[in-house]
Amino acid sequence: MLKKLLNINNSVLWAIAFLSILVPFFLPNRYFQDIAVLTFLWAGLSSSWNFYSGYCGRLSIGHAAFLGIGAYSSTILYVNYGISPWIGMVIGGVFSALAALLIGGTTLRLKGTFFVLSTVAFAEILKTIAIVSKDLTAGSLGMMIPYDPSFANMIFQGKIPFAIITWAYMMIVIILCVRLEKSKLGYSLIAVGENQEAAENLGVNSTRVMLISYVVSAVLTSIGGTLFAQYIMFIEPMSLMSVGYSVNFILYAIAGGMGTAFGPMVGAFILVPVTNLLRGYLSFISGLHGFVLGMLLIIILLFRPDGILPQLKGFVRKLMNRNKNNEEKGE
Amino acid sequence: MLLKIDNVTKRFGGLAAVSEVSFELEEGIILGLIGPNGAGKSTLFGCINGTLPLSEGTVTFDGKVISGNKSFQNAKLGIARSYQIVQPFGNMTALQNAMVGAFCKTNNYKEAEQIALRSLETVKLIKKKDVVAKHLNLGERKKLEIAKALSTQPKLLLLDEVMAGLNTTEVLEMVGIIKSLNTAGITIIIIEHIMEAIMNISDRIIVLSFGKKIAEGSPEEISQDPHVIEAYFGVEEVEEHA
Amino acid sequence: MEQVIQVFVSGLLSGGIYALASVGLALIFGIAGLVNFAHGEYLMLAMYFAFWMYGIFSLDPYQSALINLALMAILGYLTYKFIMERVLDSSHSIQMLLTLGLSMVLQNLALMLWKADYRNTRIAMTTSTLDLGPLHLSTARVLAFVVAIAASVALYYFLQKTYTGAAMRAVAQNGKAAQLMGINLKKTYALTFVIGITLVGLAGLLITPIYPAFPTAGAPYGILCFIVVVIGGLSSIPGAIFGGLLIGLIESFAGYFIGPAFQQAAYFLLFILVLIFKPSGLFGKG
Repeated sequence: MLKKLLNINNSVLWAIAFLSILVPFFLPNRYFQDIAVLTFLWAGLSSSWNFYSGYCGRLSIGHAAFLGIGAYSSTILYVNYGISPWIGMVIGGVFSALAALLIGGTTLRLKGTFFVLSTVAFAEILKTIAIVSKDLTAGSLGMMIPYDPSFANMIFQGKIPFAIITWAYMMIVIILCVRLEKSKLGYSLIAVGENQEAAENLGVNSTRVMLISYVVSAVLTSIGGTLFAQYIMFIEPMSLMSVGYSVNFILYAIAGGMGTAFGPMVGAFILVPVTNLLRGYLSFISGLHGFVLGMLLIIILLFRPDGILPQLKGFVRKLMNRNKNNEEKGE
Repeated sequence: MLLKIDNVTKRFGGLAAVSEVSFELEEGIILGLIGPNGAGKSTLFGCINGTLPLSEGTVTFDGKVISGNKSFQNAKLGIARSYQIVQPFGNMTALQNAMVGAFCKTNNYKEAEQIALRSLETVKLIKKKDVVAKHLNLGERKKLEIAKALSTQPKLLLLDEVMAGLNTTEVLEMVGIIKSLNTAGITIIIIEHIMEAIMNISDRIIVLSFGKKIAEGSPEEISQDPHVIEAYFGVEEVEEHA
Repeated sequence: MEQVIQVFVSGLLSGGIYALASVGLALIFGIAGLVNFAHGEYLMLAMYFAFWMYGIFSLDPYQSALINLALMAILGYLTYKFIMERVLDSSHSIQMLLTLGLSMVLQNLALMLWKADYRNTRIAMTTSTLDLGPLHLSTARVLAFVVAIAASVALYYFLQKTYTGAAMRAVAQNGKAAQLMGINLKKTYALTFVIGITLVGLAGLLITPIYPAFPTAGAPYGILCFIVVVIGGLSSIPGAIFGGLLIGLIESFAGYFIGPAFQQAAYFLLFILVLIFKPSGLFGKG
């Protein structure tokens, strides 16, 4: 019976995920539609991060590096060589996969803090490369994408097309996480996260398992990077490939529940609109946005480190129980 | 010969935790491994299943030399181990814990689930299959530890003090479980301090003291071996004081 | 050749400050095992405090040093009490994220209160120079270096020669055993944290006459200190001192010979190499 309840809960989450595509169509103006696009995008990025870090508990705070690789790959190819960003997205994915293999191959066996620090170090090195390769990337000035709408150019009039694209992105990543949870890779990954030695004793090749998930996570993040670049139409390395951006992914995943397929989505659905509205209405207080995010991170970690999803599930379960009891009483 | 331990030595810094231990193990028997605390029993397990690289010597399993292997490679070859201090995957359910082990020999989810369920039934933990592991009590965790190892469908099972901390009823139940595993064809090496239990189940016993093998034989032979008695209880001395 | 010596000395002088900031972290991370990603922010806060002391009371950073350090100690204690103590037993991941949040809070608090403008504390010392042979040095930087090294060495002797220091080292090696010997674990952690923060605050006030204060001024120090501590061998104070000097030199030489954009990347690269090939640190026990 417990299983059925959990399935019902997941059904609710699936419903929310699928139905959310309708939201942008009902929003009154482009300002709100923009927030919807960003919400889907961050949900997708956060879920991509979650695919590795969430399930095995190894925090990559340099994940923004893959965001940057994806964004820069497609942008450079499009702006300098006229190649469609759809293709650039795939190429960026390949580059990210290679980078992930390099970074993962050298650092995944490092423990805890050392791994995290190494992800930051790699991200910083990549950022430096982006800045000094002025011929390709215009350095710290950043690159702008000229407005020339067409499907091939991945540039559109209005916000709705991107709302659909980013929603699809989010759904793909979530579906991958759900499939991961019911697979050998997923079980192995979670086991490694809980206790690496015990997992190895049961036949799990922890290095291989972590590397595979890390690479997948990197590629998914990279795809989001291309979408990000094409939507915002301007990228620059200082903020894009910084720890600050990485913290965003992490925050939404933690708020909703790390290591669960829908956690990052829930976290993003709540926090992205809230923080963007805050930024919009209180923009005269610079620093408030970052302050609030930081406080949220602290509060969540001190008081609800599992995120709000378990509580939400518990809440829905109680509602279900009450309904069942009422039925049995014949009301 | 299923397992051949040849002159195995394991040093930590300057200290040899296991020193020049050799023995052979035929398929299908239960070998008891006893010795005072700190004798190197768990270390020897680590050397056998690959958790600890050997300082010297070789380990041969099923005809293949496995001395340099990592523990996950040995698990795939058929050596499984349970730990003295149980380490379940706390946030996964008992069934999920066992499934991690089941995936060792299969890639298929349904099949892994079946294997895991059978393991849980064997250790009589099936009723708790959906309980999150960190909520299980000690006895249940010990059983889960065995179920996890069992799910890898091993040929050789290394059990490290699975009865420590259990009450008499639980110990008897565990003895029954271990015997049934052996009947099903699994070769077992068991480390235990509860003498009646280990003397009862083992076909043969090896005694370690300070990392060295000091005796090997049947339970009766061992219980009368003076070296063994000395290792546990010390030698009676008559001292002359000036 | 003269240029090279100048680059070398400049790197050394910066290195001294890095060393001081890092020995604080060697205490906190290497010895107490607490991960604090907001370490650099305390340096920033000390700079602001020194700046305001000068702006409001005309006390230069050296004159307001004692109050500044006292304030840092209090801040360190509050941080320990309300944040770190709650996660003493939690995984490093949680400590990392928590203190990452803390660093965001502190940086943005500074931004909200004091805006992003660069705040320069110009005192007589700022422009005064020393000529030592072929070298043309800023007095403030030399003074900062001397004090930094002196404080770091003093910390080393404190740990080696005093009872409290021995208690800290005992706790680092084996908390439970230390407890059994009568050492109060929480108080030791608290003291370690407080001293660590005070030291990084000292680093901050020493560089106030030289560099401007702004909300993200501490951020590069945060990650840099971790790098130094890892390179220096986690809990080794001499390691952190040498590590700090080494990083200063690398930064200086990379900036001069390759280009200013490569300064940080150079020591990040060294960091990754150390992690891969000698994770116990260049000066640590192998």
